[in-house]
Amino acid sequence: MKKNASRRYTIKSVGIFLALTWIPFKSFANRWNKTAFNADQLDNSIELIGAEYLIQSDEVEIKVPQIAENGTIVPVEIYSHIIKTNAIYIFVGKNPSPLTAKFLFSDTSYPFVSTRIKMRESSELLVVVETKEKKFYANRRMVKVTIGGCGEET
Amino acid sequence: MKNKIKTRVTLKGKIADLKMLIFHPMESGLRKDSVTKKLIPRHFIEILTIELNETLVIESHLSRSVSRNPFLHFKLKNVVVGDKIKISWHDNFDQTGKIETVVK
Repeated sequence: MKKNASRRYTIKSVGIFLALTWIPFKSFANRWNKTAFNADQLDNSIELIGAEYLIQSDEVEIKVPQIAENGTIVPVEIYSHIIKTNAIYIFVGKNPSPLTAKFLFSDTSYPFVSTRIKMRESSELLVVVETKEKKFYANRRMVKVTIGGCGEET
Repeated sequence: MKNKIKTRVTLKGKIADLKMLIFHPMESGLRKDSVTKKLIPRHFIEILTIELNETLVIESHLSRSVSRNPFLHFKLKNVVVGDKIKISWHDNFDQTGKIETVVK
């Protein structure tokens, strides 16, 4: 009888331990919005991030070359002057999957990011800023690409 | 070179410029191998997090459209000498990489 109870206790504790370690690990993998990142239409991927409509705003500052010679490395610099910016999304309209990156900011970071992206062909670069009140502001830039940066051979 | 991260932190007053270069192929799944003529499978960083003194400051979700060996530049507030910055990433092959630096 006593033996049985202790066995039950160990099974229970092992179960709890597994649940506690497994759940955070699983949520870590699920944070990446797979459907939005894999969507192949720009409108579709904008919908999938939860934006019903976009407010055009020049407070979203985009620094990007008008003509990019090499589509594999297009430098992009974004600064959001909108207060309570929560996240910045980068979309490339004509890429096989338009949503390129998402950056989530906190109170101890400026809503600024500078990175390098790939562009398949000349396309519109759309930057969407999400505020804490779930409002979506957007700004666009046209980028001409001389050599595309997706399917090249090594 | 595998799983390597290069970082540079420059402090101006209390604002820290954090620049990083992560060595990662970031394969889009559209490129063909020149020898075998087969498509190289997708392999890219999904999540990259920046922690300042063990609190999450920036979480970035990247995709296959980010350039190979991603370069990222962020600006952090209220940083003082001696603060610890931790950068860690996780890709679609469940590979990970991290680096910890102390602000000088």
